[in-house]
Amino acid sequence: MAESKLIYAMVARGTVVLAEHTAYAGNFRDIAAQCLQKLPAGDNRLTYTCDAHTFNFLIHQGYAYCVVATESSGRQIPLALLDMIKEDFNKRYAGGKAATAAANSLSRDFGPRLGEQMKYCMDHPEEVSKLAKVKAQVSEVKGIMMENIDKAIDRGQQIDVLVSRTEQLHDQAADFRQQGTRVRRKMWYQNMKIKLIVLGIIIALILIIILSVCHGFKC
Amino acid sequence: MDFEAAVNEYQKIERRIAAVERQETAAAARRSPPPPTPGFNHINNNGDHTFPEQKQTQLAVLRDINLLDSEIELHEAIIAEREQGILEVQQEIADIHEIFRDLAVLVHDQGECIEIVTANIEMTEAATSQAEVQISKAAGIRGEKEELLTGAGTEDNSPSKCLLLAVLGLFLFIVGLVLIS
Repeated sequence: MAESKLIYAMVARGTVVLAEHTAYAGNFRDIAAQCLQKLPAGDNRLTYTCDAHTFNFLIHQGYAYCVVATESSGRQIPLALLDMIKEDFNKRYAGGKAATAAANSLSRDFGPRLGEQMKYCMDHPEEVSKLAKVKAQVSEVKGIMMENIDKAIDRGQQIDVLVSRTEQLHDQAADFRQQGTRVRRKMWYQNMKIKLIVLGIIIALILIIILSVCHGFKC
Repeated sequence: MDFEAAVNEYQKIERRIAAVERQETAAAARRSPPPPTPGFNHINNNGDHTFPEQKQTQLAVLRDINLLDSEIELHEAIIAEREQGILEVQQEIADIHEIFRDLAVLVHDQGECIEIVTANIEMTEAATSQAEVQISKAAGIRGEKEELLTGAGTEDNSPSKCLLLAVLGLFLFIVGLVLIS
């Protein structure tokens, strides 16, 4: 959703403006006053479009509430703001003070309140519109899933490192086995070498004895 | 504005349309019977009375129709905005679906890598066990070698020592006999 931009908020009794608030300059005041002339009697909701802006009106018990917003703000947030302004105005002036107020006499008192509500609706659209709330939740889920993808990619890289190291470990273990076999054969060979030397000496002695006996026999 | 409020608004519009239709029907009923003509003044008065009434009725009907058109435009704008928002939410949910599928592929590949790691570690364990067996045998052989090579010292070497002494003694005996003869 595009960023909401609320330009102007106003409360009027009949065609008399009681309170208004805006942070911008422009001719929207005059256009709003003209629209007030055309408003029908009875409770109603109306929206006029002029120069890429929407003039949203809510008529309730003789009072007209108006919010001017940019076209890109849509309709739901201005209408929700109208409901908020109506409830706040009725709560604050339930004693009938507004019925006898002069033109613009409530701007000093109620104008800042209008400004606060406009700012709140611009800063927290998800609190005002259910659709914006669902959008915010879905965006949050999307962000979390992107983080999960990043963590999974990091995990994959670490697993690749682990695969490399376990392959090295496997190769070194195979070398260790070969070296072990070689060491065993070497030790066996040396052991047999000593035994063969001893056996050779014994055989030599036996041959000398046999030769002596033959020599003795001949003598 | 939620769905219930929209339904209430729609019912209100329907009631207003019904009221306008009833008003038109009443106006038509009033126009259909021709007025009697008892006298000149009465005719003039009746005619004068009828024309403003018809005009006022038509103006009221036009104003109501304009109001209904404005409300219909407002609700159509709200519906269009809501549709746009729902399409955006749908698009983001499709993106989330794709992210989940990519995550599944990643996790599956990593599962295969982990199985390779497991196989490598098992083969490493087997090779290390065999190497340990070979080294143990080599250690045993080395012990025998040291026993044979040690000329003097512990009592364990006395059989080897006796063997060597016997062999040397026998050798010297034979050499002596040869020299005597």
